Amino acid sequence: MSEYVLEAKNLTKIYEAGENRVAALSDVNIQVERGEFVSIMGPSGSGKTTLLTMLGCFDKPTSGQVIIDGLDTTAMREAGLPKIRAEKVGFIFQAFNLIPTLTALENVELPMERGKIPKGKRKGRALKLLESVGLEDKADRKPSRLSAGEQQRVAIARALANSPAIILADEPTGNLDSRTGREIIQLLRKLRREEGSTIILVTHDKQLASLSDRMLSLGDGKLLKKANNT
Amino acid sequence: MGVLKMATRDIWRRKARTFLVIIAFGFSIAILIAIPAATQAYSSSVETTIGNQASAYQGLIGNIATEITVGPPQENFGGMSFGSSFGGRGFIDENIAENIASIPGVDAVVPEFQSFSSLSSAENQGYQGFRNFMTITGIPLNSSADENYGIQPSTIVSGRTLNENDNSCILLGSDLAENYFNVTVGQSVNIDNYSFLVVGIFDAGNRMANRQAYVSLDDAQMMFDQPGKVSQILVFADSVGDVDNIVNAIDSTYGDSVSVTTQSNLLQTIPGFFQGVEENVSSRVAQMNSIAGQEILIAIVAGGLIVCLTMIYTVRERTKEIGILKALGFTNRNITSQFMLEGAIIGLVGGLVGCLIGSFGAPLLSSILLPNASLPTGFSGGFIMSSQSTAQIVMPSMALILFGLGVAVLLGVVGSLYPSWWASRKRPAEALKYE
Repeated sequence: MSEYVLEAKNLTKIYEAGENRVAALSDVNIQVERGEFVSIMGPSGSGKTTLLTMLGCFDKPTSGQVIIDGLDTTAMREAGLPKIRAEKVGFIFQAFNLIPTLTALENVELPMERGKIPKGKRKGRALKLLESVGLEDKADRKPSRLSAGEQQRVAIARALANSPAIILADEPTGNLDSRTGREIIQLLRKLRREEGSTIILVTHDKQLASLSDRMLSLGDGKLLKKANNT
Repeated sequence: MGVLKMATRDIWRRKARTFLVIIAFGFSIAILIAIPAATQAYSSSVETTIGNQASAYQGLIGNIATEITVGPPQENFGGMSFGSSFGGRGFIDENIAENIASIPGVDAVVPEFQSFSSLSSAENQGYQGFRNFMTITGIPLNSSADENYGIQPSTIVSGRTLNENDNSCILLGSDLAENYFNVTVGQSVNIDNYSFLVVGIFDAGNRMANRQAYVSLDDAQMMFDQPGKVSQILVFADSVGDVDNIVNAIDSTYGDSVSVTTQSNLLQTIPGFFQGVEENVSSRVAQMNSIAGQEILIAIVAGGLIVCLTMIYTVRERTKEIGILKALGFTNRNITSQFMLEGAIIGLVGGLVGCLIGSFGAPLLSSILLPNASLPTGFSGGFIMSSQSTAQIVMPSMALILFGLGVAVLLGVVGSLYPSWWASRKRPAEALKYE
């Protein structure tokens, strides 16, 4: 098994719109170690979200490889990807993306239906996760009765549900005020310590990015530099 | 579990829309139940009516067909035995009746004496008759055949029919009683110097028939001075099958000294009559079934489209949610089954509503959708005389209701097939961008 929990090799994504070919990502190489907290910065349109959807196996790259936990996901058939997404990847969205009809607890339990956690232990684990994000007393609330920060905390608990190899966070503070945003990042740092998760954070906020172990910069679909934060 | 929860909660997320969809879908299912219920009710009612009509008709014809008339030899039998009362011819011996009664298969024997009496002009001033005569029929008074075969008229307007020991009594036709003799029950009439007590007056429906009178056989024979003679003997066989044997037995005993007539040719008219009725009925049933079939088809297509459009709308609305589910690792099949489950739940609930509407509203629905299905109450010349509305008896059977419910769930699933498939094919990245 590779020493890296996540590797992107020569990752390229080209969108074709008629005659136009737009390279959203070109030849990106990333290695992330287990337990690392990496932030990826860049202006809008630099390819951050595209990179994250490739890493999360939401979309296929035009060329290159994405290797998660030693598994070459780009070589896998489409039918095998849901399992990878369920077990290896936790995703935190800018818009929280909770299921509006389910309670906080049910939202956290939902990914477990596709994971390896036995049925009888799901509720307990979901409650424990809600507790670790400080929402144990709001487990029965639907998203509409939670504040934005609380919703994002539920989303973080959901991302951790199946103890994934990597957590991908796409501008998780983008819809939050700066104080709540900082709290969310602190929470991610705490959970990394507690759960031993590997976190890849996409943001355009340098202050938040500075809280990570390592910062990467993306511009025009290319990785600009590597900088060690610690 | 989560998927089922999501499916049910999603349905109730938009209550007004779900309510309308379920009512609309319910009506489709109600039509699906009400129409076959109406056609079943119609067909079975037609069959019952045909059956009743057939047995009534057969009974009637059967009675006539078992009747054998033994009269004077054909060459002496002048027309309606018109000359007999005057010429004294055209009679046969009364004791023939006793002999015939002993033939196997004979149920009853009724010797009749029938003749005419002129009505004197002195007594009928202002009486504008068809002819100046009346028919007098002498019948045995102790005959049990009267009850079974209706020898005396049954349409008594006052008084009663002739009973045993009613000698010197008369049952008068209403025309004679009112317009000629001008008498009521209890008074006496004088005919050819014989005096009779009027015990009853009948109305046989027409003036000629009402110019008849019934007296005892003895009285009639005495009046016309023909003791021991009768003008005809009515022989009633036990069954139609006995008629030929009885006729042969009479022939072998009396040969040409009597004439024998039967009504067996009447029986041959039955199949033709009912064939006409059945052709008429089956063409109407077929016509109704074809309309019913079209309406059912429309109801099914409409029901399927209601679910399909609702689910397309739902899937479009929730494309982002589909993206989230895919991002969380749910497979295409998971997503397809969630939406199909939603379709099935809409189908089930809509089906239950439809069963309710169908059970209580079937009479109204069928009277609107199948106005021709009014129930036949009888037949005339092979045509259905209808008047009763189906409304009173249309009630869907339990099997039909369960069938409707099954179709409803099936429509829910089939109607959501395409939308579910469409939903599941979205790539997660694409679906997540959808707002």
